[in-house]
Amino acid sequence: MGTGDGHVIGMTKILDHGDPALRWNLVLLGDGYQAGQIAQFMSDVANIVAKIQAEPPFDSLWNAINVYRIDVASSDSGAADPTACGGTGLAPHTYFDASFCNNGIQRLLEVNDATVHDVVNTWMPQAHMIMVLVNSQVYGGSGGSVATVSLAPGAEEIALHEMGHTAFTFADEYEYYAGCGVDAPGTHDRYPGGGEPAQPNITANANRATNKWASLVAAATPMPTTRNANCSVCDPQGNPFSATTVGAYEGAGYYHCGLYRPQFDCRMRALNNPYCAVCQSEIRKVITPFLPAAIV
Amino acid sequence: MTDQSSGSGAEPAKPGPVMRLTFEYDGNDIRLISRQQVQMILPPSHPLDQPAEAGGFHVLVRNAQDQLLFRQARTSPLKHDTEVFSAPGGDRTIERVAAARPKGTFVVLVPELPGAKTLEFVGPQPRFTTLAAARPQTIARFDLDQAPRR
Repeated sequence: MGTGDGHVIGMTKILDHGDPALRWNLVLLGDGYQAGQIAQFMSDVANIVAKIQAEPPFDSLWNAINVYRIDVASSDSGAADPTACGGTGLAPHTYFDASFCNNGIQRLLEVNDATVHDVVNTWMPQAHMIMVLVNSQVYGGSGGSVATVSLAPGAEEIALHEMGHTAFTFADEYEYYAGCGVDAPGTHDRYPGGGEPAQPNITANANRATNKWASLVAAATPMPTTRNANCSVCDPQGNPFSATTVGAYEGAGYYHCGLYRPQFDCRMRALNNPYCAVCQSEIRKVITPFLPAAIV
Repeated sequence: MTDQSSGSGAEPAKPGPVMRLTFEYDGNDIRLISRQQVQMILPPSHPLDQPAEAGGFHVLVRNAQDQLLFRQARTSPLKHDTEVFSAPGGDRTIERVAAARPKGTFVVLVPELPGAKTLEFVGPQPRFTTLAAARPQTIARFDLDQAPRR
């Protein structure tokens, strides 16, 4: 298991916008790639970097970002896929011990984050964000201090959502915990208070004058923009406004009522949506100081 | 405040010495296992005068007199629960589940500030790290001078 099942080959700066002391540094590593599959890893990294670059607002901030690829060869190919979760039963020996079926859930794909941090601390300690690509076509991923995703179609969305948490401190904008109709009755009905959330993309304050994203709210947009008529359930109503309307939509941060999100949908509420305007604004605020002086 | 933590978003920030601190946790036991100095830019400090009851998870750096020098609001790095993503095409794409055994490693980046003595994690008690409603409290406090240098 672990570092006895492979070795670090080296690091390549694949997107070079300058001194890492001056730029926002994204580091990608791979697990479950054998030495003979490193060319595939290079291609897989290029694909996800292209996906990130195409996502607003990263497209307009690209000159602020460096990307580093750390090549790691594993003894075996793939990731552990236990039969207990309906998997194949494969248990390959890989450097970061990638495995599905964590917590008994097949699509919960995790790696040994201690080993990942040890490698990054050694090779690229100026990293702001770390992602691990796992060489498997089974859908899965996870977040935390290391965003982990497989190669399955759509899994890169997991990386973008988790980057929102890890790099930009975004809250989840969905209004349930385990799921609408799944949470125990009464446990997620109304935000019970505890201060204004520190995260930039949810709020307990729908007052037009003092809301923290008020500068992005049009005068014609009502505040709050939607209300949940029955706080014992997730709000079933569709979006009564255009998809890009910024306001205060009730239901966010794991509560049906009492917390608001800036747009009806956002990548931090459900995958396959763009970042909402407030999230994009926050990403710009974080990344802009890393832009070269000639561009700012 | 030093340059590396003063990026305003209006002009490029300047890099400065930053502590890259690596932590391990197992349940509620959190250990600072290494301290590494690097030159880089950090996002700016959050307001130091934020109300104590502010929700979310915060990293605080204090001096020997316990004065607050730096505050960073961030997503809790303690995975007492985790997100699970439904396969594409599912009705709901994200749900949360409690971790069977909260355990892991994470990194915190804070500026090397003159007089910095302690680092503190403040937030909801770990069982409820993701719930904005839980009242914040001190989760752990570390003497930066005791951190093993890497």
